[in-house]
Amino acid sequence: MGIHKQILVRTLAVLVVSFGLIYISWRWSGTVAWDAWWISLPLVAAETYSLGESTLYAVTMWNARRRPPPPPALPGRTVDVFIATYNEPLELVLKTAIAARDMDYPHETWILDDGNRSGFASAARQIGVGYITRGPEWDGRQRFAKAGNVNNALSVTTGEFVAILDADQVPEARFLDRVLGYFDAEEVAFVQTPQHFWNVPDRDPLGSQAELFYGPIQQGKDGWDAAFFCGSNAVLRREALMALGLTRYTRTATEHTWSALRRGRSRLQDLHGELGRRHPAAMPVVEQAMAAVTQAEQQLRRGDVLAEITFELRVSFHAAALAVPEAMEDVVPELDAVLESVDVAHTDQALAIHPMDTTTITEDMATAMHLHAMGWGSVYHHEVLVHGLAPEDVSTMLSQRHRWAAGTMQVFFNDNPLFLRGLTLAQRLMYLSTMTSYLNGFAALSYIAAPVVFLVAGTYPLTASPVVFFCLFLPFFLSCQLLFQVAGNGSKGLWRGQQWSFALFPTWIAATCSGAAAVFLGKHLTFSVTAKSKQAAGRGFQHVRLQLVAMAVLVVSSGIGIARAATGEAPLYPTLITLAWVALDLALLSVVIGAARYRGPGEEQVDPMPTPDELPSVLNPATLTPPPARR
Amino acid sequence: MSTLSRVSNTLSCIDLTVTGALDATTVLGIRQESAKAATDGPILVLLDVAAVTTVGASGVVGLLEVLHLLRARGGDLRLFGSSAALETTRLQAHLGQVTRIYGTREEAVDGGLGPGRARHLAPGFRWHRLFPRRRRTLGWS
Repeated sequence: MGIHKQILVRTLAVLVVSFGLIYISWRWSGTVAWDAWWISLPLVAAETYSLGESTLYAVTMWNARRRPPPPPALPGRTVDVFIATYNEPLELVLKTAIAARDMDYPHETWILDDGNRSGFASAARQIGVGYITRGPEWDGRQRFAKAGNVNNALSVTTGEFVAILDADQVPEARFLDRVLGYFDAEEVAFVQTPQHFWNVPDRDPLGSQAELFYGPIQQGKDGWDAAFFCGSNAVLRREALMALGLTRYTRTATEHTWSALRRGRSRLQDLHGELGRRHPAAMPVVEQAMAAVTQAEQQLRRGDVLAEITFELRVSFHAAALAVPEAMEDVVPELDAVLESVDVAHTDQALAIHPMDTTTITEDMATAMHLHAMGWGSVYHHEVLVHGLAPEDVSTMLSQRHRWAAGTMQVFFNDNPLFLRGLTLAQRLMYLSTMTSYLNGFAALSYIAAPVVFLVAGTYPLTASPVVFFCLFLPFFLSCQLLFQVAGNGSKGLWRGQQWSFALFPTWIAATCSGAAAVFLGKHLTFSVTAKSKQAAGRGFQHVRLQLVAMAVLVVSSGIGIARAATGEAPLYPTLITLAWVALDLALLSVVIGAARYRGPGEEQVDPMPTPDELPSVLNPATLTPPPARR
Repeated sequence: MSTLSRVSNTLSCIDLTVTGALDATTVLGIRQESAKAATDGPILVLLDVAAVTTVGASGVVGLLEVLHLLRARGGDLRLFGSSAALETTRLQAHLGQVTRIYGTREEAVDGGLGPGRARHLAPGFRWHRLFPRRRRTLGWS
């Protein structure tokens, strides 16, 4: 961003915040219709929220950073390129793998197949790339979706840097050369590049091309040293990931052992009671085991080394079990379970340490946030170097957005950036702005409900003169729009982005509830892999029925409002203002109609990355032979 | 499979040595050798770290994964030897909380149960440690 543009953006940012504060102060101080508080309060709360979001947007844009070209990549770096796949078709994965293999900078390419498909293993060998799948140590353990897949690969590879690509993200040959230079700075943990989708038409009915995010917003975050890692099209420093995993592991190791010992004691007490009824001879084994747990707790209090405490516990359990051989069958499974949960090496899991965050389904954002909290830096490189596929039907798009939002809200409730030690204030705000953007669903509900209530029932959601309202609201609204456009810096799809931000209100609300349920009620959040091809049942108005119901309600209430105004039951000017409001709501919601009717990309959408010549021969099943997998 | 039924007070030992950098590459080698040695039953791997010259987070994580692998099979990993590189790195704080670096091979075999306590005890509680000047860290220094 040039200096003149930046001055303009900062001026507008000041205006937005100033006008916003004046407006919202006025709203709270004398316009809340307390006799209709049930609609008045949600509306003023929604407006306050919108001011907060505008302020966070202004803060983001205040410091937008357009980086100069990076230094050339130093020779001799070792790089592993991971292509994460679960259920994508072989052809799609191979195309990405071949392009990754053919990148200019020396590296090793690996297909991380979480689907454990034998055809993939053979094909990987044929094209000369590595193949990694989960080993038996994962059987019956928590798998942690993509994060687990990547962590598994990290544990069996050694490159200094790790490039992560989704199965449909085809890199250009220069990808590594363009980003590795940033790692000359030792504090850089990762470099993120844009996600660009070639199968999206210009009108972008599903709002897939996030040009505002992969442009001004990421540049703004980068300016505050808070560029986001988005899970694909990025290169990460292995040492940073490992330092993160290690720090989290040791920070919680003692606490983990304490709680596991407590749980273990409780399990043993239950077992003891049960044995009293059905196998009294085995009771001394459990009594000795409980004594060993007491001993371990004492050692823990003394600050003994965890590995020794847990090993001694194992030996004690073993001795206790051997003392009554006939009791082995009854007590060993339970003793084993206690030992596994207590063991400092986390033998109840497939890996001791999880460098990539496994506490959420948006592992990318959570990992980046914790890296930033440790003092690591990040870079957003604004150049399209990877070409991917966007969802091709509305249902898949909704599922993808729900996953992003639910995972993000899970982090918001569980690991709120406001309370995470180590982040700078600006970094906290950058993470907060992304997380709170999903609360927009509740605000949108208020913006839909308030005009309906007025038009149908004549209930005023605020008490104010229309003239004063306009004088205070319009400067705020217009300066917001101006800032949005100017800071958008020519990005396409700004209006489309606003439409989806509003129209996806059911998705945002559902995702917020899912995230909260996951954190507070322990409900499991599913990591649904985004389908990479058109789904037959994926289009149609049934997927956006809530938005259609909202539109219908708005239209019907407009009719009622017009009738009421025409008969003198309702005042004219407030009705006209409200009708303008309804028109804006309808314009925003109307985006779902095009999305529901969208039939996928046409012939004019051409893949910029040509299909490799060798692909057909590799896809021929006759040429495939099973190779050994690396586990 | 039960690891408890396989554990023993007298595990058979193998000796491994790490020389130079303790990083992802060297620990992957140690892990593979340990896995191979543990295929026939629980085993105690004694790792001599005296010749370690540099330490990375990947190396420490790799060691903990070796510990995980061996423990899951009823065995154990014990480090021994005096390495200036390991003693001066901040990563030692992470490692020292979890496992111990014994002074000698004999102490490692003994597992800290004998009368001579090994070095690198985890730090005890001190009130003044609650109020240090906070330092941002990349995980090592």
